[in-house]
Amino acid sequence: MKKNLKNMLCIFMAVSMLILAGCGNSAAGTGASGSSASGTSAVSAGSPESQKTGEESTAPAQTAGTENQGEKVVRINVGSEPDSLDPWMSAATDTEAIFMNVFEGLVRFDEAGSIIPGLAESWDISNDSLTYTFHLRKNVTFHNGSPMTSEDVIYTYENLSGLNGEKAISSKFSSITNLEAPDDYTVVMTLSDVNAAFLQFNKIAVLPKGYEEQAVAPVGTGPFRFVEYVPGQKVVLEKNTEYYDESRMPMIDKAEIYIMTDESAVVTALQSGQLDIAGVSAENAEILSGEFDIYNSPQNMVQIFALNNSVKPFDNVKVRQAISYVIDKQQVIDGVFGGYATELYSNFSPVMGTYYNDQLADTYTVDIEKAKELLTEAGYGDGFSMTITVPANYQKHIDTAQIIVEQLKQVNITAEIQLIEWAAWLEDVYTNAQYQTTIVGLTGKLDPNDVLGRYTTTYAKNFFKYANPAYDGLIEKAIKETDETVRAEYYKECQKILTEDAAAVWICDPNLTVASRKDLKGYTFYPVGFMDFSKMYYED
Amino acid sequence: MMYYCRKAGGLLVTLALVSLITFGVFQILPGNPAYIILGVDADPMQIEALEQSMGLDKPLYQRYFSWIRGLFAGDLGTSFRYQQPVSQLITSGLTVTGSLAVMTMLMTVLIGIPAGIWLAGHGGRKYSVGFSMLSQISLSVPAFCMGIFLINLFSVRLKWLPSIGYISWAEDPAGCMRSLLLPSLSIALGSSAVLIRYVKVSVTNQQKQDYVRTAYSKGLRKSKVMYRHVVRNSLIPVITILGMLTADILGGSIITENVFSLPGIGRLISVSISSRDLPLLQGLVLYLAVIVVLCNFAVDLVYSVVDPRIRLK
Repeated sequence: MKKNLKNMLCIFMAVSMLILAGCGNSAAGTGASGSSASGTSAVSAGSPESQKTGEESTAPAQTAGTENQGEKVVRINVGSEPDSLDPWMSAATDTEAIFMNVFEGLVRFDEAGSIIPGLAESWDISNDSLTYTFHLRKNVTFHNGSPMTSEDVIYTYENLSGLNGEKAISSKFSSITNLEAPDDYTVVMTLSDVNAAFLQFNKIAVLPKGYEEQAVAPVGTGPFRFVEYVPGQKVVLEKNTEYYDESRMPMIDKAEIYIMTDESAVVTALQSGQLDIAGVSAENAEILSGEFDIYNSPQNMVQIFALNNSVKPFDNVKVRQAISYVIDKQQVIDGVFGGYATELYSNFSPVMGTYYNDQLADTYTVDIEKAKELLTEAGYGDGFSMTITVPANYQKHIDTAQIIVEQLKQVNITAEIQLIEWAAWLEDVYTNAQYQTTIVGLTGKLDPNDVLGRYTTTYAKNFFKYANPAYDGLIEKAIKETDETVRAEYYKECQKILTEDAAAVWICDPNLTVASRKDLKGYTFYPVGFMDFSKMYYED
Repeated sequence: MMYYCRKAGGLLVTLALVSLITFGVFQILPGNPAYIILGVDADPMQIEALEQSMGLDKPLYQRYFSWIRGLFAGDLGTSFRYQQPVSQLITSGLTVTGSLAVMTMLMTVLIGIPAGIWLAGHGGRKYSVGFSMLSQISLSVPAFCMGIFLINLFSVRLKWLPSIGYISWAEDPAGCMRSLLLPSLSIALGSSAVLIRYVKVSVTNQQKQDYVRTAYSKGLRKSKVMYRHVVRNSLIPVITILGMLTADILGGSIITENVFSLPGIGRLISVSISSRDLPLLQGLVLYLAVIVVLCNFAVDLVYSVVDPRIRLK
């Protein structure tokens, strides 16, 4: 027995040594030559055995090169897990940014956010703006091989609007009262109400009729087809060689999107060659700027210091205006975003072009005396105490809160930062408006109605609790206005009202900063989150 | 036999209690899984549909009992966040964390036991001071810190090893080893330091025992005394430590898995809590309880092998 034990120990140690030695060798060997092994076998078409889990994750172990056996791969990061692979069930910006490569709607949008033809090559809108006739492209096939015809479009819109007798999938399409397909490539929709934003809604994915597996193996018409989603790790897309539009034919073969929430992990992954391109913060971009090309653009986001208009003392417009006079946005832009952000004066980013009101910059320039005066008029001459509730997972917003706390001290307002979990923020602040003030980023939308409509009393998630009948009326008028110039004027007026009422303090539109391998070109910015892989290519 | 029955009984009671508490806590915590998954831009219709598909429209007790019923049928339910069977998610998390645990334990034992024995044999000499300083350092540096240091050295500067991710053994054994080397090393450095100290103290104590003197007086060689008698008797406390360590690593190191972006159990735990994924968390709690009990049991078994005087009772 004693001998056995000794022998066992010896054998155990010998075996362990071998294993360790073996792994040492492989470690040294793979870096140089064997990298193809992990790269090529990574795609196993979603077999459940290969699925690994977690919130962030992985890149292949290859450290050298993206081009395995001539295959051109782009590896990029994304901040969160897809909410659903079924585009109709998905609402998260990150998910959309990936899957707009896979799915297409009747219309698409270009870099400026303008609506351009998608699956419909043209459309006619009746004079009363209630009938939309879409003329479909004739050479489109879904990734599963079936041709895209008006039947699929009717199926799509019946589901979205609930005209098939089931529950509607989206409230946006509830105004559709009738759907018709005069032939295989024409679809006519009739609306109950005029809605100037309706055309833009049609960017929603058209899905093949009768296909039930969207949540597992999504099928669309886009330039990339879905290969696999490994929870916690990655989403893999490949080039759709059958894509109908030669001008958008992908120049890369594969896109691997790694789910990573930790910024420092993203930076090391770039540095060690496991990612080719990634969104990073401004200060990390500086570190990476030697080895990588840095791209930088406003992203149509609104970083907002929201004041709950329904609770004291923020129900008093003078208090809100006073705070607007105190907050020095440039300090936040320099201190938190390294200067890479655009100052905002209303709930609207200049990215939105024609709808942007550029006359508001001087409404509140920093003026402490004026602020004190306003506070005295409001009966808060001695200041007050307040809480800033900030979601704990957004370091940028926390940093911003710290700067704001210091600035508010100048007028004797004592602000305390309360960090809460994102889940709690969504429920307490966003849904139930149980808060005093908060700092958060509102992601961009293509249509001004989706941006400014947040402040109407009828909007369920109006967590600012801003209430102004005149404003509601103007938004209502704008949505029914089909003359784009007049409509733009209405929205400019809306921005002005918000600013004058100081419904909130709008701080800035932080730039989206992307670090890219120097030989990888073609990254394109859009006014909404969209990683357009069809434009990316490697320089030889 | 009674022993196993009592263990199993205890396990069941613990599980029932823990699952009840988890359900309760999730009732009190603010946060709706449907909002968390869909985010701020969700359409009300989408939220309603998702809540319905997750069964959140049913009352709490009904959900709890259907979970229990599923459990007896071997069904852990479907994760809210990933919309996949919980058992499948845990299995895949376990392959990552399990591989990590095996690598880490191997390294810990291989560094810890020989070094401990050697140090005990050479107590007081000049090496010993240097060695205990090293072990002090690796003991006091937390694993994640060590991890960041190792990443910086081996991934960013030398570009030898990947800094993130996991490759499964079946897919590519060499890649698997490479992906786990740094994370396991960052844990093993600390844990082997603990082990070294235990082994050293334990061996030193045994060396002072009467039976050691007797062995020497019988004319046995030093190495024989050491490996036949001393080391063997010193291993009991060491095994206890190793058992605890295994349970610890199998429970998933949330921080280490985060630093290296490993999709293991630790990651699942943090996701299940932050996204209010009750079915997933319940499954994980079940898994953790089983792991702890199994590890304790394994330690008992190894005791009786190493020291036949100890019998399972």
